[in-house]
Amino acid sequence: MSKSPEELFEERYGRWKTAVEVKVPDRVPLTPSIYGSWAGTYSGFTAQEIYWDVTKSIQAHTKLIQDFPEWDSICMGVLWCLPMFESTGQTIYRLPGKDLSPDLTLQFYEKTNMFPEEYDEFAEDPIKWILEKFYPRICTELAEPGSARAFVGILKAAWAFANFFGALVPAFMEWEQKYGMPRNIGGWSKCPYDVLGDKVRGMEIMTDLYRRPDKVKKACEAIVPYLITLGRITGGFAPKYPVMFYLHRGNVPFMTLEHFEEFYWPTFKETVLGVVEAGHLVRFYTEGDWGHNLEYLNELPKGKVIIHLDRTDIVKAKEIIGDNLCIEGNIPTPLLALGTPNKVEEYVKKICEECMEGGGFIMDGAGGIPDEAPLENVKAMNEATLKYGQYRR
Amino acid sequence: MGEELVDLIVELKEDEALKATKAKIDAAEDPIEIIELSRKAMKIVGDRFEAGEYMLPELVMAGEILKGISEIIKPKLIKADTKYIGKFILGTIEGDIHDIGKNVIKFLLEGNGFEVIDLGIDVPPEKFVETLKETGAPIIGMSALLSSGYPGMKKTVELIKEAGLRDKVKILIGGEPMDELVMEYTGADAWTRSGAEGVIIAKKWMGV
Repeated sequence: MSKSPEELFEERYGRWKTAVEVKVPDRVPLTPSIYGSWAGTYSGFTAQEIYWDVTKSIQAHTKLIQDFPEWDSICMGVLWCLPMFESTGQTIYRLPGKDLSPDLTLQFYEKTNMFPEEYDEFAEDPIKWILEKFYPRICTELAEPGSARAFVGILKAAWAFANFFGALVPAFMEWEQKYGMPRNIGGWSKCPYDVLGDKVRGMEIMTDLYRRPDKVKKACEAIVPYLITLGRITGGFAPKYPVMFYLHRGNVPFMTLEHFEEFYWPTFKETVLGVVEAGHLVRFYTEGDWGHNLEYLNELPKGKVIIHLDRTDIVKAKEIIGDNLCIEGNIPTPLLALGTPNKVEEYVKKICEECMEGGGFIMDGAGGIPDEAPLENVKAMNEATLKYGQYRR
Repeated sequence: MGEELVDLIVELKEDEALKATKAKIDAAEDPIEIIELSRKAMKIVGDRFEAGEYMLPELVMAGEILKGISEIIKPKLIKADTKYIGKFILGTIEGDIHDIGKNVIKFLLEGNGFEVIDLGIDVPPEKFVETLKETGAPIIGMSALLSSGYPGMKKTVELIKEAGLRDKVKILIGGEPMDELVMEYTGADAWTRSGAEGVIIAKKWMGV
């Protein structure tokens, strides 16, 4: 007899949750992240269509849920509301079909958006600075706060977002209730230093570490409460699922461990703990190689944190943080994009053998499923996980 | 006396390094000498980066200090005779607009005596080939953070073949998502995820 959606949901979610708690489930959960537009690749949509039209994106992800029932969650990474972006005239992202070829994933265009002399103003009242200085600077339509143009820009953006969210919520419910498929992202927040590094000061944050270290620290401290709130609010819509943090600028070679300890870790840890205290799980995408920075992660509460590893040696990660935190990963991006199904299977077998013992291990690509991954490689990942990821028969 | 400036740059003491430079210029010292000292310092900074003692902020900061020193000595500089190991065409490949990795290897290559022709980001394969034809550079380096860069890298290698220049140029691909597989797929000669290793490869190719 086939299982009901509720049973399927419980089975998948339970398997995942058990691994998150660093316990042993029936098999290694398989939760391929899709941070780009592979759902489009699979369903015959361009990246442009997936990014701009939420109904097409939903359609494509629903098809994945139908075609890959062996997955334990669906990841809709394209949670960018491009019509909203467009209404504001934002200039910090390059968009598929507009600034980039229709087949390319959205990309962040890095530049400096805050002058060094604005640090105090930022730390004094971050939200005021963001609304009055940052948005006018990065959004052509909001250049003059209070103007009719800015007003219309905000109205259009709000309307676009309402449409977007209005389409997403029923889709999310359908995925759970009709297909019994959980998601692997609930809400999101950011590391304070990454906020400054990515969007605010850009590369200049690096010279700030030398030229105005105290200001960097103060600015990071100033945004902690807002980032905790952001995680709690966005996570509050779906508290079963983890609050996502994409980490960009803390690991080697972005800073020395001394700088990490001084500038990155304290306010990041405070933010994470603030989100966890509200009852949420958190999940990090640790971009690049976190091999040198792993020890610090052990300071986080056991069973509350999932570490999605990119290029970090996962066996080493298992050794260092595996008793406390659930690790997720990490079939290399080139292997999924350009390798053969046999090689994918070999790799999955290898990491299952080395990482699944004792639980706390989830299968995923190093960067999720890359846009270029051929179907047979994804199938090889699925089959190999079912084959080698069983804990008991 | 000269070594002091080297130390100040290497230890990233910006204000003091600039002050020392001004003092040298005021004392009518040869600006070429200051350039040599700066280059020596940059080499040490690069070595420390390679050894894992320095990270990106240190590279960037050293670059900033160098910029400041150049500003000070520029008016006194008549003609700088620079000897290069060779030309290196560099760019982030079409389909990718990220440039941190590209800028890292640029810094290290220049510190090691290469003349870098930086084509910027989202560089079409045709642009690489055109620049190759114009300059006759012995090395091309293509950088990418995303797997979306693979096809452009492959196409560049193909266009170079079509132009009959494949045996005249060495091709390096670099960035986070690089490995053996990507090298085979694109037809490049070498791959790296580390700027420092990229420089070692390039120097080997130049026989230095």
